[in-house]
Amino acid sequence: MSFVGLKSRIEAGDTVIIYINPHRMHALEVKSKRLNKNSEEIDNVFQTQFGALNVESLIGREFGSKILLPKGWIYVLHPTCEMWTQTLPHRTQIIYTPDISLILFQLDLKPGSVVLEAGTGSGSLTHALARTVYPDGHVHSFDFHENRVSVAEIEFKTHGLSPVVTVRQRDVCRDGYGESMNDVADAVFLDLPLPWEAVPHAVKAIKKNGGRFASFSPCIEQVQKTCTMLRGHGFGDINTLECLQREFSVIQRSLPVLSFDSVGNEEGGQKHESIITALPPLTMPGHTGYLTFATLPPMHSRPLILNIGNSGPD
Amino acid sequence: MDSESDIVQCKDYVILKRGNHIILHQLTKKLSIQFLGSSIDLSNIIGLPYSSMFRIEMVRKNSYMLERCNPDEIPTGLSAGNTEFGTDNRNIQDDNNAQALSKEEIIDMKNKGLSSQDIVTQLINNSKTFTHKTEFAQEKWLRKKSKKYSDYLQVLKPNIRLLSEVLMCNTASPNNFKLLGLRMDTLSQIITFVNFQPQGKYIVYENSCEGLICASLLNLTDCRGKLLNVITPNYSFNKRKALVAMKFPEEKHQSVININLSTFAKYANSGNTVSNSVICNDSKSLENIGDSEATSSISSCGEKECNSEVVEVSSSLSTSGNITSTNNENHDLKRKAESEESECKRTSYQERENEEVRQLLDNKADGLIVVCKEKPNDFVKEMIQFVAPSRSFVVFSQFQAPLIQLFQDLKQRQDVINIRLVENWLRSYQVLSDRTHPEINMLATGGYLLTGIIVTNN
Ligand SMILES: C[S@@+](CC[C@H](N)C(=O)[O-])C[C@H]1O[C@@H](n2cnc3c(N)ncnc32)[C@H](O)[C@@H]1O
Repeated sequence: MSFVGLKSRIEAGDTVIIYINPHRMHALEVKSKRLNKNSEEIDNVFQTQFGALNVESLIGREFGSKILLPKGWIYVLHPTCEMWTQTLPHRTQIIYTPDISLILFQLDLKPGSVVLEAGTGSGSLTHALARTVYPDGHVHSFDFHENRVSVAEIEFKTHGLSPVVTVRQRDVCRDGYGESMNDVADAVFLDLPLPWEAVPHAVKAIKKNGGRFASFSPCIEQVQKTCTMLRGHGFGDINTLECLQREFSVIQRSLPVLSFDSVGNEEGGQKHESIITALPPLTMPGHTGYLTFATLPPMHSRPLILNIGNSGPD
Repeated sequence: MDSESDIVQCKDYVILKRGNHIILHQLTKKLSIQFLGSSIDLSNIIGLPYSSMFRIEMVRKNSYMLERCNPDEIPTGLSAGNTEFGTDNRNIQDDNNAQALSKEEIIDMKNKGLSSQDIVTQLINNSKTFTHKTEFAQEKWLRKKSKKYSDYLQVLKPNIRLLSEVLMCNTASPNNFKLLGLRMDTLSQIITFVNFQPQGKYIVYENSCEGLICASLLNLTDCRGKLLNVITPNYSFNKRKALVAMKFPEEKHQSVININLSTFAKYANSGNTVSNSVICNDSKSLENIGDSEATSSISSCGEKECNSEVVEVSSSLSTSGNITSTNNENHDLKRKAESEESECKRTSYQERENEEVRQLLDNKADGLIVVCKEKPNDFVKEMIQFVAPSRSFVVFSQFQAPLIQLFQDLKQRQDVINIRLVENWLRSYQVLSDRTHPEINMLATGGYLLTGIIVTNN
């Protein structure tokens, strides 16, 4: 519970984040029993480097509390979509927070928006979409993979997202979004291997009043095909972006001082000065994917003659 | 659909898009603007739906009006006609005499009301080098010209995305960014870092962002959510253009509660009492701003609008490379807004409001958002006490240094975990078949974010 909405105390059934350090977080469902490998019910105990945590004992605690364990302590945190993205079980490649943030922003999403997403994948983006359109908007998420759909459905239910998210099994490239999705969407998002094939279906799904489009693709060839298709289907303001986030560590270092004074002072030991600086990591992900955004104008300003597949000079 | 708000109305802030240029403009009594060197009468856009396209038509020399047009008539790009093109640039001489037409002659053509396609054809016919250019180079040249001489204009309804674009770049002085250099990717992350929930209660302090932060948050707030907007003695209610431009319904403004910084200070120092606090609902203060802004523009006879600069920069920092906004700040208004504020102080509801503030502060906030030009360190360190456990704060600064210091200071504390300092890199692409590459220019910085989570240790 609680990915949409906020609460202060932990109840049975909640998903909580166990925070050990910035690089070690785990998402847990608070329930007294869990199934072991042999599908037998056992007490729900979570092992950490500081000792065992009896998960049931968290019930009634305040989110943000320090939990003492035999050999140290941890914090138990309210779940957020961002922490879920960091801790979720990967069933596919997922989209990470810097790209997710830009997607939410560029799709003009707000409470009440209706957004279509394909494919659901591991549901990383779906959580953030749901939080933004809550409480009276809706996320319709599609994936053609049966198992991913059913696992995602259970996950969304456990996380309290069911009122705002519907998952459906469907090949959106081949079959579109279905009759029931005609003229319902304020925004359409695609994270598919062949996104351009879904563009004509996106046109049908977007409201007569117009809407926004976004597609995430790792390869530039995918982007080119998608842009060509968008141009041929009346989309405007087509814009492709790439965003990378760089995280610094703040460090204090003592550096030897080199100056004229150092001359002939070898045995006296060199002077040192302390500096505080922000250090970028040595390596970081250099590419996630290209994000292509576009606007489908309202009917009254949509070009009628759509020269499909024909890319104009701009 | 919400048809009323989809129609352009008098007093609306509108976004005008011409080729690659966009500006923000308020439709006051004086309905003409200077846009890319031409004076355009905007009367015809009122009463028509947003997103409509218009053809810019000449009335007389240097004076234009708008005629609504069918989107199908707009060429996707100007064509060079049947011109030949070279295979490489070996015959091209880099002198300034390539174009036989003088600047005056080109301006004259514009004044005669020739269409862009006609002007561009003339330019091609009079260019000694055009046919020597490769096909790629020809297309590139045409694209550049067609954007410059676009005959069409689109009127768009302001939203957060467009406002952040139009308010961000001060093309007049490229090294002096508006909005503290807060780029859209950074803005988008402020919202996710703080786990912004439509029904949450957030403390926000913004200074020098034209109200864009408040507007962004309010846009994402449901009727049950609350924004506790911190105001300081220097707070200027009329420098919140974005908030007015969004034209939120009245109920939305009820979600904003303005609280003086001194109230927070008193509450913190005197064991949780709130005396003589100032609280006023945003709808009241906003109403006043809206009016005073409108009057100012009228009384100054649109002079300010006319002076508003539209400067061309050949960069493409985003889809539409050149971004400008009309600039009509008025210092007299500041004083006016301040007197409104003190009026607000005297309201008879003071007692009840004090109680309201006390309750708001007792039940801590779901997050803290600080985006300002000031050094935020001391403020953030104090304000953290008003944030509930397991909730986040996020601080934006144009500069890295203060955030490094804040990082260090917070690291010493027991009640903050997961402190992170980040910066982003954002690049946009030209995507064309066989000519896809990153845009030549990009914004080198989008500002810095520091974030963390509050915890309890008992
Ligand atoms: C990379 S994953 C999406 C990840 C997701 N955005 C996330 O953040 O967790 C792509 C998904 O699209 C699904 N998919 C691929 N082609 C599809 C199609 N034509 N229709 C529906 N789903 C499709 C795949 O099954 C896969 O789960």
